[in-house]
Amino acid sequence: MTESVTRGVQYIVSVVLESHSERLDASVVPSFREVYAEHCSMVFRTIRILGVPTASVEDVAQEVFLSVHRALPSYEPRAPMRAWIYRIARNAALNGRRISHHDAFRVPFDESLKSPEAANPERSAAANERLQILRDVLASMPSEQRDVIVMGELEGFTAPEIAEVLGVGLNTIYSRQRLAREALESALQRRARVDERESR
Amino acid sequence: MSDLSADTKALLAALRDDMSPTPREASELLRRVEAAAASATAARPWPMRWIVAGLGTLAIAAVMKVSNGPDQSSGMRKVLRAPTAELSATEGALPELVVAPRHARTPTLRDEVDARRSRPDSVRERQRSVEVVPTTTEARAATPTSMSNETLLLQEANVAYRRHELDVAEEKLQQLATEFPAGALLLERETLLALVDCARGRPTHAIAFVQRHPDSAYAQRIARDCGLETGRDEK
Repeated sequence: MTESVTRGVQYIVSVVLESHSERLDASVVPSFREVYAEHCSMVFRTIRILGVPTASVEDVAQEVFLSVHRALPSYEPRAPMRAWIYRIARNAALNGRRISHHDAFRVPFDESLKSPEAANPERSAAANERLQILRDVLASMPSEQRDVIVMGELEGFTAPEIAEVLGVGLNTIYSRQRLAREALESALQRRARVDERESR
Repeated sequence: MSDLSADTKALLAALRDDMSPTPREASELLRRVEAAAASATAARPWPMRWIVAGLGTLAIAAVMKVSNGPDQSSGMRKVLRAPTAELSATEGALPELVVAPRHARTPTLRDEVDARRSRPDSVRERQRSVEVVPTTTEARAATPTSMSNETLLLQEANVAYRRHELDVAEEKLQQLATEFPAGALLLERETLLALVDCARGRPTHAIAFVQRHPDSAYAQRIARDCGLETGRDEK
């Protein structure tokens, strides 16, 4: 009697274990910490640049990584992880944003978030001013152009990856990139000329 | 396709640096996420426990019923072929059987799964550059500290590099390599090492890094600071 029970349970446990271990062995999904170490900076930047208020940045980032933590076991390794996480971060940022892009970009960069050492004292006031101009210009761009600038130029996504994340065609991305780069350059030059005139 | 000017690229790179988290922010967020994940896991019963408890209960109940019946020799086959029918047939016996097998057998399964997870020859283990995610409460509590130590050391190295105190930076990086040979911030350490070497006029590490991680954002920074080509420039 006891032996029958043991054999029955052993059989069932072995079946369950087998299916479970197949899933484990098949997965080459990195650990959460690996994922975190690799993508933490991108998530922070994305959240900040998409206009989440400074006070909420960490909360939104936590939400992103909790989502990643939950979904990681079922993550499909064939899909590019960076794009997957970017999409989560982008959605969380857009959901969590409480102020407009314009306001977010015009808020001076909150140095209290950075350590004193990281504040880069070597950077001149002029350089800081140019950064603020860039923020203003990005804030004034249409969101589809800003997306391709942020993803392509800041985060180094390829055009096919951007197309995948944004869910649009590759040619559309190429076209947006061309327009966005032209718009960015001309806006920066325009602003520089205006500032130059004002400083005289 | 139109391309951005070098000035605009440099400006974007500076913005990128400004928007990036400090090591302290990164380590604090990791601590928060792991704490939240741990409490969420503790609040949610492990699904496999329920599966095994259910299957174990089913098996025991079914075997007991069959072994009490007239044909004991074919009992096991009947159980494995038609568990659902056996479950409904033994429904009345379930409540008293649920508790014991669940507690008695779940650790065995978990031990087995943990053992498979930590099997040294698995692909997962070979590719891992940080320690195995701890499963015990004690280990979980310990890891943020080691992460914080690693982060602090890296931060000190970074500060030294920014101040052009290259000897100090190298010393800190060496300490990092010794204490955290496969740390969570390995990529960041390699980046800083490449930058420090570049500052000393030795671009070997930088070139190797850029070749190894051509699409990495760190490669962009290294290439920019060391004046290298990344091969990832605009389409």
